[in-house]
Amino acid sequence: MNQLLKKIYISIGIAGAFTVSACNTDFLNTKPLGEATKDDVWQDPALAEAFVNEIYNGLSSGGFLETMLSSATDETMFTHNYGMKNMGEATISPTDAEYVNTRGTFQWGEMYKRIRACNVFFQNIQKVPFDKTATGERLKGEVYFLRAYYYHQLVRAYGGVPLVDVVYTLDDKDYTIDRASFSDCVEHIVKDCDSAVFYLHAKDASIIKGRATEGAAMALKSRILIYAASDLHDFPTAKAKSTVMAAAQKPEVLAYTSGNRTERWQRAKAAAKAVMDLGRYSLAFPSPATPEEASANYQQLFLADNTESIFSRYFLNTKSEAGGQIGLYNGLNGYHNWSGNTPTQLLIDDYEMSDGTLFNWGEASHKANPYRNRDPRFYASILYDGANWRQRPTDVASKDPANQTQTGVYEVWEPEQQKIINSPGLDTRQGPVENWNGSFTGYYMKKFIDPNVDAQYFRQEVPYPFFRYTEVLFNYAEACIELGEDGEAREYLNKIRTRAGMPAFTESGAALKARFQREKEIEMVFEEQRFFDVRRWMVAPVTVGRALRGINVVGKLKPNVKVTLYQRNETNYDYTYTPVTLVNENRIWLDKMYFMPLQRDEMNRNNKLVQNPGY
Amino acid sequence: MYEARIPNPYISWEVANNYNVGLDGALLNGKIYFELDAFMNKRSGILVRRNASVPQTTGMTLPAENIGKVDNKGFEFRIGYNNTVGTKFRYDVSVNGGYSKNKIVFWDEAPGAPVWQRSTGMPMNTALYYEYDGVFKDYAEIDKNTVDYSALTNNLRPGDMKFKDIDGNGKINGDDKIRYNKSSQPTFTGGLNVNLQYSNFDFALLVQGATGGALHINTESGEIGNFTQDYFDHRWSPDNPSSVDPRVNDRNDTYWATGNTYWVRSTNYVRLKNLEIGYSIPEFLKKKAGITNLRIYANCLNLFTIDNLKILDPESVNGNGQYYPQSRVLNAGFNLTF
Repeated sequence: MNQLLKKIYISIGIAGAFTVSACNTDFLNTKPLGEATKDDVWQDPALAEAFVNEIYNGLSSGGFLETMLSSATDETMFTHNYGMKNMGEATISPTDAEYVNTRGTFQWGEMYKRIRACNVFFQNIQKVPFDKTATGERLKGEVYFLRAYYYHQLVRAYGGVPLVDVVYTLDDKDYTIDRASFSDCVEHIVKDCDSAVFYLHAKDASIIKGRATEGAAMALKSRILIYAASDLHDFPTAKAKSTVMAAAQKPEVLAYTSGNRTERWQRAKAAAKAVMDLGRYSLAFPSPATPEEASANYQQLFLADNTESIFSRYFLNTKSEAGGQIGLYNGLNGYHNWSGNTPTQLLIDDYEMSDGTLFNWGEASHKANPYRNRDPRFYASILYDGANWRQRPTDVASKDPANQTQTGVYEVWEPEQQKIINSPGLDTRQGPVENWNGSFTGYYMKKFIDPNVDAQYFRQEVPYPFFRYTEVLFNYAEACIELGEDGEAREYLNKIRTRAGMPAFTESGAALKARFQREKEIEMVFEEQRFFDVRRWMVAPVTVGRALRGINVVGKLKPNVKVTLYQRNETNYDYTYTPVTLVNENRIWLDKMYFMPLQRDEMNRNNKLVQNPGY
Repeated sequence: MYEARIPNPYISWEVANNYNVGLDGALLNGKIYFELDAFMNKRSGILVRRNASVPQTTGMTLPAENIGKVDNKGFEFRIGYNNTVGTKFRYDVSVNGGYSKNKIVFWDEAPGAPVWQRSTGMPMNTALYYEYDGVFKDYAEIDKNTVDYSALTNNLRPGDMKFKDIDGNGKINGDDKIRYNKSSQPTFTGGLNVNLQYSNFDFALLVQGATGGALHINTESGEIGNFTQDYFDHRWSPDNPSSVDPRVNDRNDTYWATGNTYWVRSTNYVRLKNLEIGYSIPEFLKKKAGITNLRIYANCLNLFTIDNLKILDPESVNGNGQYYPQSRVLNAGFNLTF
């Protein structure tokens, strides 16, 4: 049968060739217009550069996806589930981890697809006839950075992963490969960062916005080294703090099993210092005159590039991408937005009072006015009941001429019935506008959301910061604290405090470490930091493992006051604030959550993979 | 610019070997007529991507390769009887049907996948489901439960579903999903046709049915959409603590809201697709009225359906209920030809 088919095929081919030979045979050898062959790509500098451009797509929209990593922490809660609930409830497994495998920023398959592209690039780049060798050098630097970035995404999510530096073909008989040790992975990433720096050194001026730079590679190196030095990745420490970690099948895949921690901290400190010594970046808006100015500055910091932007993902409102829709995904349902990632009461409570003391529900003045006199960054990051926001959409405007966030329930006078009724706010799950979307927590994200864009219809152009200078200062301060250099740590932490309009730290030792950890939570909220920080610090059980909390706000009319259209007003209303535990996401912490599970399907394809502990 | 796929230089035709045996005939002067046909298709070299067996760490976007093998067997038939009794009564009754079942002989499989999840030996386009095993009626039952559900939920509640622990390791997880041997495609479809004519009256009937298909139902019920009547009526509640049906949930916010055999329902059905009665006026009246023909009729589409699905149309292949339903249509009218 096969033979017969082949004969038929050949004879048709011959007949065809004879028929057209009288005319012109060129059209038989056309190249597809939508694709280019491998040989063409590596003979054409423009195509080679286009190949590199695509590798950047592994960055996705950065942290600006509909399901934000912050909702797998105590920062926010994701309203629509989408597999996010399994993260908070610690019910992800090798066979069911929707967020990890399909929605997050560190998807295994996606990262390896781009790592392969990097390897294909290195296999072929020598062939490309660049006019200026500088272009080829720059592309090499970018690809080294990208490969390091993708490995760092895998390593901080899964621990040590297979280090693939070959370009597999269809003819290979064996695709199985072991997970490399944590230490080898860190060295691989560091080496790629160093190579990137070598090729990108002093080229900033010629590099287009959004591409990798020397500074980006150095900041990445700083980050991976501060992770590497942390508790979770020092096996003796991790083992002592967690029985699940102690039972790890191959501890060297997750942590250093030997070696000197002090040296690791010193190396991390040096890597951070190297970025600082570049002199290319600085804290933006370093010295505000008033708390209000500090608040306005902080909001502005996350709406556009500034002196501390090291590596960011940019968006155009003309291009349909997730990253431009952060306002739509997270905005208030009373603005026809989707209320996706909503700040939790746990986060709100972690904002200090403006004098640097802790907020405390037990204190009568705090409970009576929880949103008064808080850290200026609170007002720039969070929309709470009564907070001013942009113009309401036309169909809702008449219900709220004051344009204020409404997450409470308020008494109003109903003239027809001649009585007082309870009216749920516009931005609640009982309100009149798309209430199935409303926030469960009673708060909304403000940071990163452009107030000048009507997110219902338009996309915003706010960049996502993968690396900003503040993180490098935090890395430096963290290493200093661990090395006992508290004075040096305070100096840099207090630059961040001053910029925020908050009083300086004076603590030392464990107290300083605790303040540093809270400071990073607040300053870098929604920036994909905390998910990893609480793990490597091994404070997850007492932070992200806490029960989810939200707020009930009730506005009661004062005696003899008749208000028919609600607006926040302390003359007319008595407000009460009651924090509540939210039961629809039953958050707990299990130690398996320190690392994400490897997919069972992938383990079935590669029997050398060892599962992470606790799964 | 990216690698659209790894080139496969060996790509070739898919090969199909078809075998057919047919028999058409008539008996008793054409009063009995029949068509019988049996077939077997053996397809090989079916283009399949080896995504199930090649690790993602290779980073490869795999090309289609000629590796799949599928057998398809079945038969079709139509048997009828027509006759004329006297001069006024004519009738024609026939049944027809088709049965077809395919079986995967070779497919790309993950080497480590449990036997009960392999697609080889199963029909094409089947899915993996947890096997439903009742509902936790109350907290007493949850307290007695010894199976570990922690991979699905950390908070079992009355009205949550029980699943079978297929691999018997005391733990419910993805390894306990089974490959369901039915797809939304029925294996047998058939019909009954009846045509009667007595004097100037005529009567036609079409009954249609199918067996062997199953549909996974997943409506967007909860805060965004309504529940089906069936779900609402039978739901677990504190007042009606069911051991069979689950409590209400909001879309997919429970581990059992989708992906288990509770939601897979048989789509077997028998449906009276068409029923028509007509009357043509006699010749002498036609002449009198000066017309060629006048026929008065009444018909009905989809008059009744017997099925177990109840919730959705058994002819639907879409389990979310988002389709335009078949309607029952009653027509009455006349055809007038001058």
